[in-house]
Amino acid sequence: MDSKLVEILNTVRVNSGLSPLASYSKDLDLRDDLEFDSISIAELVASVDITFNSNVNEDGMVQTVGDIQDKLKEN
Amino acid sequence: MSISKNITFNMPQMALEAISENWLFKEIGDAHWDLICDGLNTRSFDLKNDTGDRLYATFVRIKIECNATLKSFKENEQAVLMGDINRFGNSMYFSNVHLDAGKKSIRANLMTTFSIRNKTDNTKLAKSEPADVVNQVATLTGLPQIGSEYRLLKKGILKEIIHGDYHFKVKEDQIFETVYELNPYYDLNGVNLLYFAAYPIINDVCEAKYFNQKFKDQRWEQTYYTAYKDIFYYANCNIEENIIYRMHDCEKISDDAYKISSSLIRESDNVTIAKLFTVKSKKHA
Repeated sequence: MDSKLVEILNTVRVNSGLSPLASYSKDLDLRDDLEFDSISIAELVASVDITFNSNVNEDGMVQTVGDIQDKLKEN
Repeated sequence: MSISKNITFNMPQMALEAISENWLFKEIGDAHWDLICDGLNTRSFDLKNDTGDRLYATFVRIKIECNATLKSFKENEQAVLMGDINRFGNSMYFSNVHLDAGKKSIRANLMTTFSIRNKTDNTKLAKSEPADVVNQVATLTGLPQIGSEYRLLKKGILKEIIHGDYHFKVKEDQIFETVYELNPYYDLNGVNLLYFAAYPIINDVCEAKYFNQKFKDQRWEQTYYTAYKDIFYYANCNIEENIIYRMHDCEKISDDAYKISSSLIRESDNVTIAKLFTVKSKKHA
């Protein structure tokens, strides 16, 4: 996984009062597995879009880490 | 994006010989919404997500601070309302709205996201964001404090809210509790959701019950006026709901002012729908 994406995921986790993780698998659900609430997901998406000049929610809201990776590949 | 308009305080803008807090919230909320619509170059009822569902602005947090109290503003006084807006990503919007009348001023900070309605249940609003829009609202590079504090308070991590000289310890103690029966004609908005501007008034109606029992020689509503209010919006409710008001803390911070922490809770499922941090004062400019 792109190290910048891992860095963003960990930044959002820390900002949300959660511990950073060493790695992230594609099937991790942002809400159920990573414990992100709506503000954290919005922060994650905004940070990814700024860093990668993307629009990951363009065709629907992302649910998993893999959804973000797929959107970045399409970008 | 910015907005500027002149306002005269007449009876529709007033209550209890002061600016009506209900009117104030509606006015600053409308300014925020106008700023979003201007930035997205759309009308509010045309704002939709990628599946064509109508989007509604959902207030996350509103903070107002007066340099005196709402009673400092007088009938027929002229004021200027000015505001600007920024966003972080496509779903979080942050406005600053000022209302100035001479040396008297109110500073408001507002944060919204977008939701789509569940047509039968107001407790099940889903987050979404606008699609197919050219967004001209300036972008921030990080989540502002107003948003990060909201998240940490909701998670129970933030233990203190600090604004200038006001320090609110976040407590779950209960020093007073009462039940508020919704007034649908007043509390619900045009799409039958509990209006964001109703939350502070529900809070104040219940808060006054406490103080009017405590001070029998004066009416709280006509003595102490809002100088500061910080509302963290968590959830909405349906028309048949009762709201539990719970006061967590009340501290006299000077001869003229009280600092109060409270929550609004849905009676049916015990879910907290808002947390409020208030300063009321009887010292007016």
